[in-house]
Amino acid sequence: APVISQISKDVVASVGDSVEFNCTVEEVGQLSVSWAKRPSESDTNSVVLSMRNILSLPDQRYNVTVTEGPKTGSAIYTFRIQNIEVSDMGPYECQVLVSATEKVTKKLSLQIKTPPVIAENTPKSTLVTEGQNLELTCHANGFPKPTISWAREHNAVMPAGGHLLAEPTLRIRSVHRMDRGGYYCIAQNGEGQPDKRLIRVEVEFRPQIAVQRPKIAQMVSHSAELECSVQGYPAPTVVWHKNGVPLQSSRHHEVANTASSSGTTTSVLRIDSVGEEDFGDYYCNATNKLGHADARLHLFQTVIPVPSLS
Amino acid sequence: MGELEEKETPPTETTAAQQEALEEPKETDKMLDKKEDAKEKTPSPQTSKPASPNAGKKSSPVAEKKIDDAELAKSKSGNGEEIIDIPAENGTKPDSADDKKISKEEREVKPKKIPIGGLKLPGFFMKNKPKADGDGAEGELLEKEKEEDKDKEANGDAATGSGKDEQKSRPGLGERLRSFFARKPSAEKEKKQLVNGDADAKSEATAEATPAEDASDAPPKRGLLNAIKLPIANMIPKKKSNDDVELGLGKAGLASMETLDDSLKDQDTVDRAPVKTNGTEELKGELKDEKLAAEEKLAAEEEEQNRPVSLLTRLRGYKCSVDDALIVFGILLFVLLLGVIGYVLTHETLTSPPLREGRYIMAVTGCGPVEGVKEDGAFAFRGIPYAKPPVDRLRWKPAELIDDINMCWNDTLQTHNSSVVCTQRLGNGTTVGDEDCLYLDVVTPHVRYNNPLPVVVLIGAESLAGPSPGILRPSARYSRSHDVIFVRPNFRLGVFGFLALDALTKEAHPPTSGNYALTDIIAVLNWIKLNIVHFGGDPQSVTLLGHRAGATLVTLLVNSQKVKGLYTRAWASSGSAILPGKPLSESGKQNEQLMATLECADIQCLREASSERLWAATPDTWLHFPVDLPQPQEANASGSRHEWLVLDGDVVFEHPSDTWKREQANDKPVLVMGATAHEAHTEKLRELHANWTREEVRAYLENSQIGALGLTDEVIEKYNASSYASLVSIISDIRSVCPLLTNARQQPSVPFYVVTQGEGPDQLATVDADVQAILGRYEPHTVEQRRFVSAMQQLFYYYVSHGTVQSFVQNRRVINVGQDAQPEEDYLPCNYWISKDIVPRYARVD
Repeated sequence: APVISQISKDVVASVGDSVEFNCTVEEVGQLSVSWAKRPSESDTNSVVLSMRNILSLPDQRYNVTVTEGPKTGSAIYTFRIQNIEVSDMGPYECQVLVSATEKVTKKLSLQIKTPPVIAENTPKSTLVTEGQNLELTCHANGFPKPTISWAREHNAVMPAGGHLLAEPTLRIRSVHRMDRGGYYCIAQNGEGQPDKRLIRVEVEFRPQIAVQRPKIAQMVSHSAELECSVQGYPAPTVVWHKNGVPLQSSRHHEVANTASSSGTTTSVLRIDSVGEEDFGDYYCNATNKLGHADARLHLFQTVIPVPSLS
Repeated sequence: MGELEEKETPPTETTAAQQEALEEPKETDKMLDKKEDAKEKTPSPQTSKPASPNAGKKSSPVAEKKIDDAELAKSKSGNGEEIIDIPAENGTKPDSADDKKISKEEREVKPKKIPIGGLKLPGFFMKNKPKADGDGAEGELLEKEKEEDKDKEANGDAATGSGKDEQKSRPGLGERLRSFFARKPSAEKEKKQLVNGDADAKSEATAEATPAEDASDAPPKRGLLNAIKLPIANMIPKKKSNDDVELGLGKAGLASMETLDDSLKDQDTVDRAPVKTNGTEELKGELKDEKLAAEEKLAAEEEEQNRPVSLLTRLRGYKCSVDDALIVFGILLFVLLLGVIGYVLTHETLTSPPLREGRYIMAVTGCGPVEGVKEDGAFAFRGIPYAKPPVDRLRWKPAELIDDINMCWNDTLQTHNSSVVCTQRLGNGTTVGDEDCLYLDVVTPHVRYNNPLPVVVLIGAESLAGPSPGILRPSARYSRSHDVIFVRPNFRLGVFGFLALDALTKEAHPPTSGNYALTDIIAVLNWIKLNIVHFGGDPQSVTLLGHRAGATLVTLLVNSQKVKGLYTRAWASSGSAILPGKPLSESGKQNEQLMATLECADIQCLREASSERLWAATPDTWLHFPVDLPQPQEANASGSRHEWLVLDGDVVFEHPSDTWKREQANDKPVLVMGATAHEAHTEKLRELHANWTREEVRAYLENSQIGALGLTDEVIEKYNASSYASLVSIISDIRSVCPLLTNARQQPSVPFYVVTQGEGPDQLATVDADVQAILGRYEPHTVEQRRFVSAMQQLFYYYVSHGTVQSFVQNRRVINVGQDAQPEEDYLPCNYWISKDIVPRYARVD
């Protein structure tokens, strides 16, 4: 009976390389020997690529030759692939057709190196409320199998400390408002450039007010500006009060709210031509669905005009 | 010619006679009208006469009468009665002047008669004579007119003018009388009359001339002058107003003609007709002419009036325009005045706040007003809070700016002499200061908003455990003289400023710990950005000046992402070249011995410990570091030595050398590094020997790591080590100067200087020399030292103002500051120490 005495070992190649498979058959006689390719390991169907010294599938990249083997009555069937492509990856078989229903086969595997690619189903952003736990997992394809790590945007400190987390899953216990921001999932396997995916973590938290200048000085008949820096998500609504009365934008009072990329809302109350009755306490109140915060500012009188500070 | 004329005259005479006969009745009516006109006109001459001078009156009537007599005589040459009448009239007036005139007239008459009788034909005689005489008469008249014009110009008196006018009227009358006489006779008589008229004219001329001559001869000089003037005056008005005078004369003539007509009617009616006709026509023409003349005069007057009117209008217009210009000018002046007043008021309102009691001044901050005190020509505010007190739960927390009004003060904070410092360990082992210490001092020459000045932030500390601020105290005098504002902040020290522990890391968010003092300085820079404008400062021009341990902090800050936009440039003097590179967890473990000493198991326990206990629990090895020659045991212990500063991953993200590699060279240096040649000097070392000799220096070197490495002889030769100064120089180069130069070389744009100017008996450039010179506390005793102070100040303050370092050349990296600042290619001893692997291995810590 014919015997496949030898077959090449599994091959690992890169795109553009050339590979060669050798299959040595003894006592081949007049039997037909073929090279075939299976789509995947689990698929038993195969595509015949060649029979004896003839290509079944005409492809310029394929080449098949038959040479005499070391022993009498043996032959070496060589199958070559040039300019490897990703689709060439998969198992290959050397088949000897003994009869219509019986064949002797041996197989080898062709692996092709590919750069890492992060899976498309990775979310682009996620929303979490302060105090909750957060878990983010990142998957990536590529050969060799990529390693996954996490880092924060702008090299900020990770919630668990340090700057790099060498795990596929990012876990944040009791999310803090300062954990808000961009997180990079980084996949790398040494082939090509690492793949990065930015996932934005948005943390819902109640408003928090910071007043850089709690006391504002100005001279009568000059304009004054009172400023509140508000942080909160969703973006809070800011309202100004004096003596319990809301201050709407008018000829005398002008309120301007600006949002910055870092999620801070700055609210400026501008009082045009300060009068004696304008001195006193002002309140800045910020509200969102999670709560509210307020801060007090005081406008007092000076004998020299104070220029606008911006 | 004469003959032809004689032939032509007869036919005309016949025609005239016929017309006269036909028109007799009309003429009579016209004459009546004329008489009435004459009566009406008569009053005017009477009124004019009284105004005229007496001489004029006397002379003119006499002349006229004479003329009339002459005409009568000529016309009635055949009648003897008429001749008789004339002498009778003359006899009535016995005046001497009249007599003279009469005699002259007689003379004139006689010669005329004699030639007439002598000639062959009467017609020929009469015709020839009038032509010649007329020409002469005309010439004389023209001359007289000229004279009259001159007199008019000379005499401008109104009285003389009026006199002239009156005088003129009389000759006109005479002329009209002549014309009437001429018309009355027949054709031949008419001819004769024409001739007579000419003769009359001549006689008038001669009569006028003769009186002048008589006057000149008879009276004295004065009388002569007066006489001459009077006739001239008489002549002038006559010519001027001939028409008016003629009108008057016409009236008189008519009156006289009436009497004549009566006599003629009785004798010869035919003669009356032609005379009337001619007279009426002539009178009408004359009247018309007079009217036209009057109209012309009026028109001329109107024109004259118009011209001045136009001139007046122009003048008025000009005046109006002048007035308008004045008004506009006034308005402009007013507006300008308002502008000036406004500017002055505005300028006044922008001045500094007023002084209280002559030496206290108020400035405002975002937390309320502060009151400073005047000293040395500048204003000092000492003890202004810039961050929340770092006590209780905020102990070992990054500095937090005051963002809550409840943490501000009420009313005005008096910052006169407050000088609290952070709790710290002094050189003698004692502890001073408070834990609530995040305050800063501001020294400024002006409290104003215009012309903001550059800001210099003084970050001084001899070590990271104290003393601080050391010598880096602001100088009011130099603030004023160099127009800079000094800000000197306190920052936390020792374990309060730098303790890194895993337990602290875990409770923080983001998880990190350590380097709290750096966050203090970052808070200061934020405060400056928000408030320095109220003290006359420019937030866009902030220079960090660090000294010793303070310079180490400055070097780290310059490489931190946290201070971007908060400062402009930095100056690090005598800092440490050892910068943190160990992982945070490693530092945390090393610091756990503090917890063990305090018998604390958690952070709460640490937070409740008093500052005294914390200082007592601080290991002595943390408070002292080698500053002398390297010792053999240091070679093995380098890995375990304590460092206050750590890689916290937040403020200090990486080792600065990694930052230096990544960043590109800048045109303008943001950091200047420097050292002094003898900064390792200490009194303790100096007192080891009263006099350091070559042998003593050799022995000292031999006992150190240098001796262990067998380098003693090379070093002695290289440094010519034979004095205390040379020994100190060796130590300084190994511990400070050369390690810093190594760091500077990694930053191509960073200038590096070495102070080599010595002072004192050992001529040492001590660790404080450069900063003392900058702040004006270096006391020069020699010319070289004075030059050094000047050079040092020039380097620093030029850098503060302009951002560049004079004397810095890219390919000559080192600036040797002796009595001058000299750029040099290298600092030679350093290459030797680097090649022996002694630098930067044994660099000073802190």
